[in-house]
Amino acid sequence: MSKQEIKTTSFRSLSTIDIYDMSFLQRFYDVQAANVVRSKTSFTLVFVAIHAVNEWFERYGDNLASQAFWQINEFLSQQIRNTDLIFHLPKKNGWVILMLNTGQEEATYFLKRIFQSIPPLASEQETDLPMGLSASIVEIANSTISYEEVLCAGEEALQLANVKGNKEIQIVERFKEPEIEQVKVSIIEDDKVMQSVLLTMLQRIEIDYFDLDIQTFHDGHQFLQSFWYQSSHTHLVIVNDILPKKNGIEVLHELRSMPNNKKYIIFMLSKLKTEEDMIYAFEAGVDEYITKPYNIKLVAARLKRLLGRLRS
Amino acid sequence: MIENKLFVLVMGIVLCISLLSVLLIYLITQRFRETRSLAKVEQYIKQHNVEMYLYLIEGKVLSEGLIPQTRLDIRAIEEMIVCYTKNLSGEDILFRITAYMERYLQEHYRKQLKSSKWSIRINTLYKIADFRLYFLLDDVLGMLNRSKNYSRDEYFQMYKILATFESDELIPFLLQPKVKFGELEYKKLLYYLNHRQFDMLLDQYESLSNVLQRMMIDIIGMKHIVEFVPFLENRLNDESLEIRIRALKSIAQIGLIRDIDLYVPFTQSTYWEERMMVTKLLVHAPISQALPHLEVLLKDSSWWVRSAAAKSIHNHKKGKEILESIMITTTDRFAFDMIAEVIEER
Repeated sequence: MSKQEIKTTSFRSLSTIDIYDMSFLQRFYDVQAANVVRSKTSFTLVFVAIHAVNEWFERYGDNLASQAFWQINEFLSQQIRNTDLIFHLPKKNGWVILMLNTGQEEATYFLKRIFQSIPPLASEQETDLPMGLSASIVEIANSTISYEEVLCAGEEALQLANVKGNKEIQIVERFKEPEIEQVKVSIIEDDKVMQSVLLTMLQRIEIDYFDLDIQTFHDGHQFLQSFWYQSSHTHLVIVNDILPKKNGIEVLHELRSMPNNKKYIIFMLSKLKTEEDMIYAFEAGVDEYITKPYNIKLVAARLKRLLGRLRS
Repeated sequence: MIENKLFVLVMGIVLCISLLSVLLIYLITQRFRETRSLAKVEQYIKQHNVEMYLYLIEGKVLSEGLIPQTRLDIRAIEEMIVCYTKNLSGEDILFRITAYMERYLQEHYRKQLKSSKWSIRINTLYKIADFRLYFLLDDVLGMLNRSKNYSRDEYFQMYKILATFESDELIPFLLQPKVKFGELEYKKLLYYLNHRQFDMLLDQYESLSNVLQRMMIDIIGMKHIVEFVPFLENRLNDESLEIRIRALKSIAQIGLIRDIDLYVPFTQSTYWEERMMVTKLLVHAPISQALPHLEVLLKDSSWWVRSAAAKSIHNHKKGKEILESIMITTTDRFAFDMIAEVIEER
C-alpha cells in the first residue's frame, strides 16, 4: 500500500451528503455532456486535494494523514451546494466536485470561499504543517470532449497546483469553447431593398458560437409552404407585418400554434405604432416589435443580445 | 353617289384602324420600354444593394458602382434611398444621403426644377425636403422670386422647404403669400418654424391674414410654448370670437393660468363655446379659486358646458368627493344628472 493511499478503516465520514465513487462520475459526466447542447449551459469539474499530502505522510504517518483526509472530506461535504455532487478520486488522493450549470468563474469564487475557512486539524498530536488545499477547475461547454480527456487534464492541473503552493487554483481553459450552433434565420419581407438590407445586416453580424443559416421569403405564404421552418433548430424569424399573401400576424399565429414553438424567436417589423397594436402583437407571441422607421444597428444589437442569452 | 359614300366609309374605317394600330404599337412599345427599364432598375438595385448598405449604414467609402451614369441608374438609386428613408432611422444615414446627393445628383435635380413638366418639378421639390437637399435652397428661392406662376401645390412645397431649412426668407413670403393657403397648410408650415422665426412672425401679427393669425394661436397651444402665454392673454380682448376661443383653447393646452381674473368674465359669456373653453381651462387653477365658478357652470344651459364643468371638477384630487357633495345639496336637476353621468363614466 502506497503512502498516498490513505487508510480508510479507522475513520468514517460523518457527512450526511453522499460521496460517490469515481465509477459514478463517468455516468453523470456523460449525461451532463449530452445536456450541454440542449441547455446551452456549461458545467464544471473541480478537482481538490490536500496540499503537500506527501509531506503529511512523511512527517506524521498514515494515521494523522488519514485523519486529515476525513476531516477535509467532511468539510467539503458541508460546503458544496445542493446541486453539486462530490466524488472521491482514485486511491482517495482527493475529490472531484461536479458543479451543474456552473462556469469557471463561479467555481473559482466557490473555491476562494472555501479556502478561507479550511479547518485546522483536530488532533492531539502537534503539527507544524498548516492544513491546506490545492485545486484545479475544468469547465466543460462542449459535448464532444471525452470523460477521459477531462479527467486527465483535471488531475494534471491539480498536480501543478499542488506544486505551486497552498490555496493554488489551476484553471483548464481548453474545454470551455462551446460548439458552434446552427441557427436558422428567415427574413420575410416583400420589399427587395429592405430584404437585402436585413440580409446584409445578418451576414455581417458577429455572434460568437452561432452559425446563421439565412433564407429570404417574399411573403408569409411562401415561407409557410417551404419545409424550411420545420426543423428542431433555433429559428429566428424577422417578419414584416404587412405582406402580399399571409401577413406577419398570420405567420406568427401559425408558428406559435406549433408544439415546439419556443424554438422560434420572432421579430416583427411594423409601421403601426399604437400601444394596442403592440400589445396585440406581444400577446400573439412576438419577441420584439420594431416600429418603422427603425435603427438597423439597434435591431442588430437586440438580435445579438437575444441570441447571446441563449448561451447564458 | 353610293359608291363614293362607300369609298369614304371604307377609307374612314381604314384610317381609324391605322390610327388605332399606330396607337397600339406605340403603347406596346412604351410598355416594352418600361418593362425593360424596370428590369434594368431591378438589376441595378440587386447589384448595388450591398454597396449602398456599406456606404449608408456602415459609413464605408462609396463604391464606384454607385456613381450614377444613366437616367435609369438615378432612378434605381432614388428607389433605394427612398426605401432607406422610409424604413430606417438614424441621423448618420440622412447625413450620408444628403452628402451623396450633393456630390452626384445636385445638377440633375437643378435641371429637374427647371423642367417644363409639373410632375417632375413637384417630385423634385418633395425630394428636396425629404432628403434635406439644402444646397438647392437658393434655387427654390429663385423660383419663388421668379415671375413665372407655379401651381398651389408647388408653392406650398417651396414654402415647406423654406420652413424645413429654417430659412428667414419664409417670413416675407408668409406675410405676402403667392397663393392662398388653407388652415391645414399653414399649420404644417408654422409647425416647422423655430422660436426666433416664430417671434419674428408674431411681431407682424396685426398684418397677418386671418387664417394665419388663427393658426399662430393654435400652434402656440399645440407646441406648448409657455413664453407666448402673455401674447395669448392679449388675444382674449380680440373682437373676433373665434380668436378668443382659440386663445382660450391654446392656454388650456399649455395649462398656465397667471391671473384667474382674466378668465372670470368668460364664465358669463353669451357664447357657450367661450364658457366651455374657460371651463376646461379652469382645471389648471387652484380648486379653491376655480370651484365657485365651476359650480355655477355646472348649472349652465349648455350640455357641453355642464359636462366640461363636471369633468374639470372631477379632475381635481378630491374632485369625486366634491361632486358627490354637490350632488347631495343641488336642486338643479341638470347639474345632478351631469354629475351622475361623469362619476359613472370614470
